[in-house]
Amino acid sequence: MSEETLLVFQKELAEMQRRESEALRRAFESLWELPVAQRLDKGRCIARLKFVAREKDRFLHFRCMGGNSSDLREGDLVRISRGDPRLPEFDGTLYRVDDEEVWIEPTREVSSLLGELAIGERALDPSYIDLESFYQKAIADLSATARGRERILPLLSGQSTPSIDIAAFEQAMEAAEKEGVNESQSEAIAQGVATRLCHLVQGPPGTGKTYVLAQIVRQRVARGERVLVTSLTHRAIHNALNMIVRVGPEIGSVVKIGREVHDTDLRVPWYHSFADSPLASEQGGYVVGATPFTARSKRLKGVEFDAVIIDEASQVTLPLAVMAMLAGDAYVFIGDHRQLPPVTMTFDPADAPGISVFGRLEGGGFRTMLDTTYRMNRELIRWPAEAFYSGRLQAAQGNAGRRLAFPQASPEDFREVLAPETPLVRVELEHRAARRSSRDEADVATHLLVALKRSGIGLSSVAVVVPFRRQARQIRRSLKARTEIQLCDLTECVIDTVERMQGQEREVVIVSMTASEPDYLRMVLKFLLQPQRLNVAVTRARSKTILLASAEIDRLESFDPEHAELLDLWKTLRRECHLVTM
Amino acid sequence: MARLYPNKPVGTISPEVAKVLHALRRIPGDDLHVWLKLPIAPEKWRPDLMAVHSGRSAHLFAVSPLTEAEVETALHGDLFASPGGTISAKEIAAKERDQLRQFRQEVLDGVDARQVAASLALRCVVAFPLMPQELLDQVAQRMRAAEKAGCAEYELWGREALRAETLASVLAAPENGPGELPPALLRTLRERFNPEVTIPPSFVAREEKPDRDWSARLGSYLLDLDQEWLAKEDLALPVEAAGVVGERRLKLVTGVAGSGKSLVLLYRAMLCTMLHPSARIVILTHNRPLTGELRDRFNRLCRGNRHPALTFYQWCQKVSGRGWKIIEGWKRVELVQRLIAGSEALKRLTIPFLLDELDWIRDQGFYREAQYLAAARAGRVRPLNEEQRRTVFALLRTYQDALNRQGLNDWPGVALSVWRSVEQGRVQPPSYDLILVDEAQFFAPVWLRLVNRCLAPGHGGLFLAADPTQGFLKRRQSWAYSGLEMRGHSVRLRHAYRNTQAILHFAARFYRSRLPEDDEEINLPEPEVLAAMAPGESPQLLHVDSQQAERGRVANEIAAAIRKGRRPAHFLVILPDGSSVNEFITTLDAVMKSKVGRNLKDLGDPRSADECVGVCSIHAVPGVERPVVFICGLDTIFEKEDTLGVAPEDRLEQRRDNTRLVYSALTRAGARLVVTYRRPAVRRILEGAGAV
Repeated sequence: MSEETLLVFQKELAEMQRRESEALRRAFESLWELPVAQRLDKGRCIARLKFVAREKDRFLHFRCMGGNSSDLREGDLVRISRGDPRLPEFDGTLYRVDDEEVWIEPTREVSSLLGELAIGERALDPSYIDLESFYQKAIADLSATARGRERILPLLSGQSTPSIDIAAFEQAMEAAEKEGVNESQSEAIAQGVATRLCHLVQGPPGTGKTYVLAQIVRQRVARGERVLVTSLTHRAIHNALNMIVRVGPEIGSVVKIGREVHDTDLRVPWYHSFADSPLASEQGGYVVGATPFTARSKRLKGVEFDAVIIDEASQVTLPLAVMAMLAGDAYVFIGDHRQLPPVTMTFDPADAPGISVFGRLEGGGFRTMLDTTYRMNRELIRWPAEAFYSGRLQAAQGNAGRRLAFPQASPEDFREVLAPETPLVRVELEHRAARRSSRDEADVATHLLVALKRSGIGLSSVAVVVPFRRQARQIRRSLKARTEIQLCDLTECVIDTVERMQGQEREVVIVSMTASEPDYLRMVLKFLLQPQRLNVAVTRARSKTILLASAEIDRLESFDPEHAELLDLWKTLRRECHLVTM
Repeated sequence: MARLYPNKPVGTISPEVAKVLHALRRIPGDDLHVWLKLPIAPEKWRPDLMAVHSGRSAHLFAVSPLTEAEVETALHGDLFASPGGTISAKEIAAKERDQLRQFRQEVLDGVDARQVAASLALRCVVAFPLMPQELLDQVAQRMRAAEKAGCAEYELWGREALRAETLASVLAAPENGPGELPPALLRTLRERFNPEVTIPPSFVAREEKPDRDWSARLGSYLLDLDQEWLAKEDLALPVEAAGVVGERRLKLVTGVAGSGKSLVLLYRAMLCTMLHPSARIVILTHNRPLTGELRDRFNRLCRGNRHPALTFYQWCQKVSGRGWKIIEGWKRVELVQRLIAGSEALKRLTIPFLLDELDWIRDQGFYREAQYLAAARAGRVRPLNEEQRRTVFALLRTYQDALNRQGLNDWPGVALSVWRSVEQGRVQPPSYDLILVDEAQFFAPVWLRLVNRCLAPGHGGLFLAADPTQGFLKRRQSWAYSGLEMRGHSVRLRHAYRNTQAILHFAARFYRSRLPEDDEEINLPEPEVLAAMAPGESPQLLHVDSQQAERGRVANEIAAAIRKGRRPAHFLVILPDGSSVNEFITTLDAVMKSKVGRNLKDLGDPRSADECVGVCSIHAVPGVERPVVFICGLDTIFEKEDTLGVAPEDRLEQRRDNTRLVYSALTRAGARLVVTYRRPAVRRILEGAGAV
């Protein structure tokens, strides 16, 4: 193993992260420099906010006096200012937002500001936290710690190959088979339990990767190991922890460590820090769920793990993964490089998958692909299986022949589109001037949602996937105007970008491609037709996927080989669909 | 020459006592030790002088000012008694004789009753320096006739007997003692005569062995003779004699780990405070845990007096009358990283090296490029050519500008700016009669120059306690470089009290294996001293599998011992950094279900040190000691030595620093040392395999 190679890799990683942080900082600085009118126009600002009250001691409630037509949504980090976001009064997280009101959870104590806030109006703009120093410290630790030098750097730079503990493998295999899992799952579980260094579990849509994760954790804890479960988002961590206590109710010690949790779905206890938790005196195995940042913070400082399990690892960048990996000796990455890649400011969408830890390691041979989906029916799986999984993905018996069933009368409108016997439908529209929102597609989507509701399909079983937040807003507005639609339908029905739907499924999914103006299409093609996005978009449905798209996309031609490749892929999807022209 | 304690009388003594003292002092040889009582408000009567011949006997002197004429009148008076005008023979020095007798009895009561030799070796003398022996012999005759019993307990010595030559022959005469003074007698004598040298048991890090003898014989610990001599040397401060310009008084005490350097310094501070209540005295240290320990001990020794202990930077604040906003360590790293981003030359040097070099430049007191270019950089492992130095100095300028813009400063910058303010006369420094510096090896040259400048002109005294082995911060500097000429002013304490043989052997083996070329720097006691130390238990190395297991295991061990009756104050836990200190305290408090852990850095903690387990980071251990010491997290220290891409010179420097750091931590233990480790490599390093 050459020290030089390790150092070169480390240096590249540091440089990559520095560029990324710099790009992020510049992006925000140039946004904040714009006048309010331009920020509003970009959908990146809510102006004329009037402070209403502090609620539940946590949230600051504001009314949008000029309405809200921004793309900002729940969970976004924002800042409040008197109009110039470069001079913020405070930063916070957007807790709730609609057209008239917003609720913000400040990141610091703001009691002293309340009197001041009541006077005048405020502006709300997106914000960010500069985490560059945390990243660089973690990258520096790759060469400054024994674990970094001996395990992580050689692994990530392709200088070492993992080995497994044969006895543990056999035992884990046997235990997994007893659980009645499929062959690829038992292989993945056994590898994940027995690896001494690293294993990758590729989980295409609906193949039960969270279940596999839980089984790996369960068996490792049974051996007395301390396991860190981490991911990019709190939501993913909560899902994994909930699954772990579901499949392994015998595991007593499963906790979440981090900021205060408002997610009422979390089924395990939560603590501010490891020292506050009962695990501080626990000598046997246990499970801690925490973000990679938390693993490096004082909440978990001085806590080491036998294994680190990273879920959604195809969305986790290498520097972020390093933060978590420094806390443990063996690594299991669960993800799918054929689904959404990490969000990046500096990489071309085509290269983005390579900067995830999963993308970096997936060619190394220590990977098991789960090959049976329990979500989609046979027809829905055909295109993704061929396009992304070399034909190796199949539908399980129980769902292979599934069809959409209407509890009430079959729909009268859009009969052909909604027909159960055609699970994958393409509705071809003729608009040609849409950019980030399309009224035509919003109307069709609204009609379809209304028709589904009339036929007895609750909107909680339906989702609309869009490429741009503005289109989501357009559809929501149009839906709101319909008398058949109630407020609860609006909250139940997810209408959002594909990121929000990763890891989720619905009975019916409508995908609105939105854009149609040819020049704009060319500009965003790499994003719009990014294979990973298309894969996720069309694989959220159990019974039916309806693709709304303008024929302009099909008419597009390009001499750019990358574009041409994307358009070819799009055409293969079109061929798989039952075509309905409007 | 006899050795005097204190070497010079403090305050005023009578001319008669001075006469006897003068004679005693002139006795040749090293075996005679003479004590003079200090004018610290005594509760009980004490003799004027005490002379101990180590091989023979101890003499207690009560000095009488009676003159020949007065005694003759007294003798006469027996024949022609005239009421009111004279004294009778039996009244001559009656008070002194009574008090001597009583003092002697109390001393003998304090010694084990079985030691008959003690009574033979302890003599009482009423000294009459103004009277001929012949006349005294007459008095003695009369007294014997009058008193019958009791006369054997004291002798009356006149002018002839009090001559140096006579005294020498009498005090050293073989028939005048049992051959060796019983140690218990000497101890009890010193304790009664000099209560000020008693050490409270809580100051002592060694452990007493349990035994079956339950008779009451618990003595106190005392300063040893060397320690006492040093603590009392030149105690007289010429503050009362205003305008007297003498020599600036310097003293450097070095010695092996655990030889009591801090103790001597503390007692000296205590004695000076008690003897000269109006004198300006300050004790300076480099870190808070040591300052806390010294304050705590000073308050116990010297109740009612305000402790004079400050960290150097607290003192700087006092000297300059202002405070500073200090940049946090990680922000400093970030700042330098940012500043060197554009410079290929600087990027070739590591961040730790650059930070260290920036500190070093200011520690030397340099503020001009020319000073830095001309410097020898002695002791700096990595050489820098002129071009490199110019680049580094330019970096220092931009670094300082960046700090100024943010209204921030860093510690070396603070020391330099205070020094410059004083040097340029912008700040009028306070003037101290005595400045005592503990662990002075950590004081940078510019710190010492500032200290030196603050001594009262003409008479201010500077007392330094230092252990060069532990100088991992301001390494390899000479005292002369800091403006202090220590030749002829330094004393080395030879005896080691804190550790056991096993602990010292372990620590020395570790040091030698890592830095064989620095063997002489280990500063171990001489073989005969080492052989006389308690063998003790071998240090224990505990293998654990994670950092949380390290904390949990040590917390459980301490909790179990406390539940069995051990005092919390017996324990010290040493951790690799400040944040692990807090983590450990949380774990220990949780295990104990009460707040028992105390961060020694926290000077505001109102709890008594006796009730708490001391916890501190490895960088803060010098000067701290406890009977039982646990060291955790050495993996974190050693693993940095193998950081990839580090230049060999930097690696060597880090290895040196770490070796001194860990050696210092290992020698904190008085009786028992336990080290936890996670990687087997760390065990091998500790056991003497050097680097891995």
